[in-house]
Amino acid sequence: MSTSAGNGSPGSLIAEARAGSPDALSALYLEHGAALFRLAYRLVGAREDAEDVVHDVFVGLPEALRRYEERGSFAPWLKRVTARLALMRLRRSKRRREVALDNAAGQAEPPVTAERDGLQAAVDTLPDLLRAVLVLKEIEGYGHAEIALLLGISEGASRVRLTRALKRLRHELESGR
Amino acid sequence: MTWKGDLRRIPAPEPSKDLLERILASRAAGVRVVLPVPTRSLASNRAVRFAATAAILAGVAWLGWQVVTTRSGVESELPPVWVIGGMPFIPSTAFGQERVRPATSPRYPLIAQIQPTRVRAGRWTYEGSTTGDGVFTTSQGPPRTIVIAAGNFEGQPIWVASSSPEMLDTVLVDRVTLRPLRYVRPMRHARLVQHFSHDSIDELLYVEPSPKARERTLRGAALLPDVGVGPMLVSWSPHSLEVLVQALPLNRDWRGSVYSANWVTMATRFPTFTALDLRVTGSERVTVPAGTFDCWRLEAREGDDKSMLWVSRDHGWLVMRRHTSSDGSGKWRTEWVNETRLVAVDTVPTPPTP
Repeated sequence: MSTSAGNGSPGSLIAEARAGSPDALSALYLEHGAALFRLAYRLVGAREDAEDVVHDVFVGLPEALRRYEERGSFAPWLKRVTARLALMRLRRSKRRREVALDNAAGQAEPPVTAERDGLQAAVDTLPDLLRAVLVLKEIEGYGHAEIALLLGISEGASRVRLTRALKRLRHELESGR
Repeated sequence: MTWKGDLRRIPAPEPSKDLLERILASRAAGVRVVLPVPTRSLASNRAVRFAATAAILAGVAWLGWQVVTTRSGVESELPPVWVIGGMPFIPSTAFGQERVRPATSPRYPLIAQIQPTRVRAGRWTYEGSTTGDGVFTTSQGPPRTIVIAAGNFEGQPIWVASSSPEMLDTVLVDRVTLRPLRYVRPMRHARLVQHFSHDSIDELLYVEPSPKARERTLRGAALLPDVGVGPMLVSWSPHSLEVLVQALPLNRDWRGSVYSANWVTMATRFPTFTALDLRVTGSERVTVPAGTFDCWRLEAREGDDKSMLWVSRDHGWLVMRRHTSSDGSGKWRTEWVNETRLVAVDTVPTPPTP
């Protein structure tokens, strides 16, 4: 998709998206949408839910940008917003293990090796609260302080949950071999 | 440990190809979502906690000083310890940094999806009646008109909602998020002003001097329970609900909760925050003096208090409201039904939502 938004620089894209420009919003989606979707998918565990999260993020982005202070870089800010929204969704509804209807529609899930398939399956067995900490720490690279803020827990609780998650993951992997 | 590194390489699917189109279509249709925007960095969070602790210590020291000294004159600068007339302890701004646990927890997910472009400026006139035990009915006095008008507040587009002819109170509501920004309620011998920021409420209650007591300005503050996510109501203002229902994307299965802010300075009489739980329970055709409307019927619960609202499916207007309560105990008990019905509507052209 081509875009006519601004001169393409991040600052001007953000300014135009803040003003509600669909072109700027499209450009930001093309730049960040896939990464945000992967983050949301790993947190909520279902394609439909992850798409709903990304949908809501970009629908609400122009208004949210009015509160973006541009002190840090944009991508981490957007990731934090997405993570918060995904976690709110996770808290609100019990995670639904949806049948991969998308497969029937021709959108295949990504190919995985048998080893990684086992790892994914082991991650999927984790309770939501443990999986959220694991995903944020080990995959997304957040620190415990930031995870604590995102999840509304203490830093100590975040460390404990990560330890439990890794322990359970190790157990799952060893018992699966 | 190899699997720990493999975690980052677990593949994830790609989003649907039409996701961007759906996003743009939702925006074009006027759908808006209030996002939980992070407003504080870790460093500033620590600084705020440090500052709050220092402020609390300063507040405690000052309160101790107040207990052992007698002051005269206007208490406009600092919070009082106790007030006359049985009013309770007033939480100061420093104490307001402590998050207040809402009196009731939301039954449903907090409302996050609204359609603010559906809100219209205009006048809605209601008549009311009270029926006791289904036998005798009394009018609730002259019709009440709610006025919603577009305006600007500190450079921000807002809705100004108030009631006439009394013009008893006025609430300023952000036009995008539908959160209150300022609430003013003049009373016989007092005036209440509440200022809302994205995460807190600041309150001033000015009490006029009387023959037996001097004038007072009481201050209160509290952190909001939802930290700026989704719309919010003002408990004492029916207008804020009037604005919100116009923007709700109601359907047969819709349900959602919203926090309602009460007086901070009367925290022990009224809980500062309560959750209003809304749920569509069906649809009905309702005839009121203003005409016949196809409506969604909503159950509205705030703690033990329950009302039914009828909201126009086409316009989002509040067409009718019925509140049932009872008093008495033991042998005698009276069931009261308060009903307000839409008498007239006069909408005016509304400037586009920013």
